[in-house]
Amino acid sequence: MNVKIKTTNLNLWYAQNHALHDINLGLYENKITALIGASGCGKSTFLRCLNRMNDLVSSAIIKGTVVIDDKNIYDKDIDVVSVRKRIGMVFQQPNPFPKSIYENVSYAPIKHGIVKKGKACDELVEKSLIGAGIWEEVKDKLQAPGTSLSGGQQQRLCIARTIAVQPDVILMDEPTSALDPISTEKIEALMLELKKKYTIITVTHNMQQAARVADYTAFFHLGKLIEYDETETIFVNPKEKKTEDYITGRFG
Amino acid sequence: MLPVYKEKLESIKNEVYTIGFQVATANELALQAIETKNYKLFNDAKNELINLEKNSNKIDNMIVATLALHAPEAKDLRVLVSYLKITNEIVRASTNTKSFIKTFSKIVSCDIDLDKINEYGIPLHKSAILAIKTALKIIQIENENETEDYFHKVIVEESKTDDLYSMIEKNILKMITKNKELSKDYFDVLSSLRRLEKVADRAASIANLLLFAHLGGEIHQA
Repeated sequence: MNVKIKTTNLNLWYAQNHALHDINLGLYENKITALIGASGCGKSTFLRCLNRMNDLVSSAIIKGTVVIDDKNIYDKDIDVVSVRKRIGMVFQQPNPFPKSIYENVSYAPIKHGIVKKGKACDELVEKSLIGAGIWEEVKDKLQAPGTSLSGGQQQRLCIARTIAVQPDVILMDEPTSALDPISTEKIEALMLELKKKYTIITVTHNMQQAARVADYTAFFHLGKLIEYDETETIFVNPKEKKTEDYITGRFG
Repeated sequence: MLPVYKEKLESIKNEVYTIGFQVATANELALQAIETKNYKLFNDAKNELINLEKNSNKIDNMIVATLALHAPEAKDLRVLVSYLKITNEIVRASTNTKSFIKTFSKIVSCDIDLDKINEYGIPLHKSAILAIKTALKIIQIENENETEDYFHKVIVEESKTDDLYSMIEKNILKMITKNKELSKDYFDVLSSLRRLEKVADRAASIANLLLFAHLGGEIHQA
């Protein structure tokens, strides 16, 4: 198994608040890794370090390295836009652009110069919507606004938008927390399909979701990585008492 | 249902069926050894049960992991809990079978009247095999009515083994009174045939657990 992303001594401060402490983690290629832990434990902060989203927070200070395919994404010569192109992100709330379904998917590939308008773009839109498992539902209304879709469909449209720029890694920050159980199952099934092509890292408060879909699980507590192992080990035989206490609901 | 979960359930079901069938096959080979007097087949029967406990442990661990990772509910939960108990029943049936083979393969060289014993011993063995095979068939069944039909068939076979064993017991006691110097051998026969009756008991227990898995209600030890 290849390590796709490796963080070494990763620390993050929001002004005086030390939010991440020496995180050393190797995230495997074509696997789903779930980041779990109570609110404020640093899992979303860690996730946002992986595509330099924390650069947008003025008080954030980051030390350590995040190496993706042998290159530290925090090196000075790194183009942040290209990092975010390679590392797509899906957020908690579906956030389609106020544009048509077609434009939601085609916008970024055209901007990045991956395709030009026309047949190639049409094909990429179709391929991305198929990849996100929503093509059959929207193929006859591609010009309808993305915002006209249901919550679950909007989230899959956002996933289509993410994969349209052909990333290597997809980060998901609680991608189903705003969705009903049926839509959640569709997203989970989609994640299992997507991992064949992409490396997926997901933050979730739903431990059963981590258990169901993740190959690996990392448990964070108060900004520290407490335990990281195969999901089955974490949920059946965790090594750390804190992990066991969290999983069994003894503390939140 | 996520495909990965569906695959795990299917895999557990198939593995349980496989180890159950190993017990049935071992008994069929042992029966063939007795019927044809080709006692070398006892070794084949014993070999059929090699690794059964190891495979049972593997299934149990798969079930524990599936319970932990997928938190099944309703029928899925009943099925997995039942399978966890069924593997135990299958291991016990396997132990009974091994014990039968071990003892019976020794007494075939004694001076006891095997033909007289086999008069009821073979039907007893056939009923035990039919009970276990019928119980295992329930694993593959989805239809509720069919589940109940098969369950009743298992109970009938299990009841037959009880009756046949009682008849054998009476006959053997008579034989012992006529030939006291062979009493140890006859008691060994009785003990070994008791193992077959136990195999049928385990089959009834498996059927009972599968009935709970398919139809619900309350789990209880048979």
